[in-house]
Amino acid sequence: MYEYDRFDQRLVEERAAQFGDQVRRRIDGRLTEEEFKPLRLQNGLYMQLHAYMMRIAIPYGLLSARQVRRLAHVARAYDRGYVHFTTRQNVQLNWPALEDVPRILEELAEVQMHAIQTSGNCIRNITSDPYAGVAHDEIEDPRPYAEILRQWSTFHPEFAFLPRKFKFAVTGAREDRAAIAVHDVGIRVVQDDDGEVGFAFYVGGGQGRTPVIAPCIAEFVPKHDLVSFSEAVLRVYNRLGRRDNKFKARIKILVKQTGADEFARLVREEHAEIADGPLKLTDEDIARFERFFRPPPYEVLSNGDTKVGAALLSKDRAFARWVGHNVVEHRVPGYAIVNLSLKSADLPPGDVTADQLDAVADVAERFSFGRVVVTHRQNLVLTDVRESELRALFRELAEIGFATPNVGKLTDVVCCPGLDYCNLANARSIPVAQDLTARFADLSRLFELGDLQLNISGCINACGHHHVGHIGILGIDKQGIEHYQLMLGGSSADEASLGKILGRALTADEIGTAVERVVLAYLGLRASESEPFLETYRRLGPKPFKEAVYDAHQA
Amino acid sequence: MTHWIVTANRLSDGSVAYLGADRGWTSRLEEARRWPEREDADASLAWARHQEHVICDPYVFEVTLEDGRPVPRSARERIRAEGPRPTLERLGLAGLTSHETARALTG
Repeated sequence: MYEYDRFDQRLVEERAAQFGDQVRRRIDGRLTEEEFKPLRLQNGLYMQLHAYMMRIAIPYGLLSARQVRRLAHVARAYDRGYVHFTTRQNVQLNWPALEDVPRILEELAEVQMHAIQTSGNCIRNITSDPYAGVAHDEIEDPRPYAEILRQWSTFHPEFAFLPRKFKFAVTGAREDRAAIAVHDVGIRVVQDDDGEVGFAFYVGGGQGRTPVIAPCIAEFVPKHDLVSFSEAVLRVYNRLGRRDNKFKARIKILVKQTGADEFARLVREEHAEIADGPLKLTDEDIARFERFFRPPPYEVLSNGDTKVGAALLSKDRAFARWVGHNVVEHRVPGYAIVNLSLKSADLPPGDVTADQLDAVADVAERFSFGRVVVTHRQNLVLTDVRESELRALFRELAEIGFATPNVGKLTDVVCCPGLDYCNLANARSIPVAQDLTARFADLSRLFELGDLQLNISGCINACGHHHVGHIGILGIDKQGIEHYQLMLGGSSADEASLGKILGRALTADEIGTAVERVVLAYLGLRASESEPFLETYRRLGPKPFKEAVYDAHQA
Repeated sequence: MTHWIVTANRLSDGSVAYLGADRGWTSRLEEARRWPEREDADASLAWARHQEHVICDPYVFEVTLEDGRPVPRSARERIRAEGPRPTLERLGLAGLTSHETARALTG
């Protein structure tokens, strides 16, 4: 894990002190709200419906147990005893008082955390594959590169006031678990025919008002050019991106209007000017960052130690189900990747109490080298668990409510805070998630449905990533009444696709039943029990699902 | 019948505030001053914009009166008045009146 040097540490401490001064000046009237607003936003502090909201960065989703404990302490001391993990691997406090925020930043700085660039028209938190470093299908660990990009983009003077916000995602695996196709820049580690490792750049993807699957503008960028090529992309965007219309200011609009080929040419032209300058990475640069992400001291375990197969056959059905759905193959024999489901009937998706955070830190230290990863599907991951300890871990996770065996299933709902909290939302999303979680609580029924991702957003800004849910729900406001658009067929994985609206918007009373009808239709339409929902939808299109939802409603 | 109310968020903690009858700020929607004419509400909004030592970003919203009580036309303002459902349930406050909710949420 990356460890701050004295420059990093000083930077976050000075930032906390600087914001403390700004808060004092706002409270005593020396700063107006108009003057203060951009300053608070640069420190991740938003004004929401009922309170301030503070967004804290978690670079590529990676946390130490010490950081998790500090989040628990902050939640208790300064908030209402819980935090919310977001779809960009960040964490949010929903109730901080303004005068406490500088102290929160100081407490975070002590454990090498901050809220820098978690808001505003700048480069935001760099996200990555939650299985980075341990995935069996990985070409190279993407985290050293994500960290290089984090350092390059932090306080980059040229990119502090971009036309709009800007989001990077990086993956090193063959399977995309980082949703790179729907980011402003998605970077995939690739290998050419000679075995040389580089990066494919996907630029101009995104969700929100205008969802776009990013085109690939460069199939192979040498690894030494990672920063200079990123700089070239940002320079072209900064120069040509629209600043006259907020809704057309994201890079996806520029790439669409310019054309991907012409945009790529402009980037190559810019890159030619800077490729051999100071941004070129040396082998020593890369090696220095790689050292921070060296594997933990794994024990050498023979294949005979493998317990996953046995666990799946265990007479303890609850344990076997959990292993089957929440545990993933690790690249090191004898170890496993364990997903902690934050999706239960008890709390909104992504919410974790301070007590649960402390418990997670504890199990991370005892079972997984003290590391925890936040996923963009609002779950947590312990990346390095000995298979022989899975049963003991399962029992402990069950006690804190994180062992629901539903990862990747319908009740593993991705959901933004919606109109219960958010100043931008048009409709509530959490009650819809909770209703659907209750409807599909029966595990046998849930497992029968196979992999089925449900994403809910409370407005067109799409923080719940509804465009890429196999089933997506978008909250809208119709004359003061919350309504929901149902869309089907989205995916953020390989062969990414955008969901299509099924029909007229539904009321809060109708949406849960509509999803049930979609699911029932799928069970009747699938070619075999092994055909996932997405394949059935892609094979048949929306018509039979539309009939199932709307004809039934009319009847 | 439509009325207009001036609202904002408090500077100290971001909690919901309504401009009251005495030009003070209240957490209770029922205590908010209601103007039958938008122009009159806008005049008070102009005054509220100078209250930045207490509140942030004031604006005007629309209510109807039901049994003499103000009911916001928009879902957004109804939820602002009632508080967020997940937190209310977590804190055991669901089912309280908006006044009781506001008191609990603003400590």
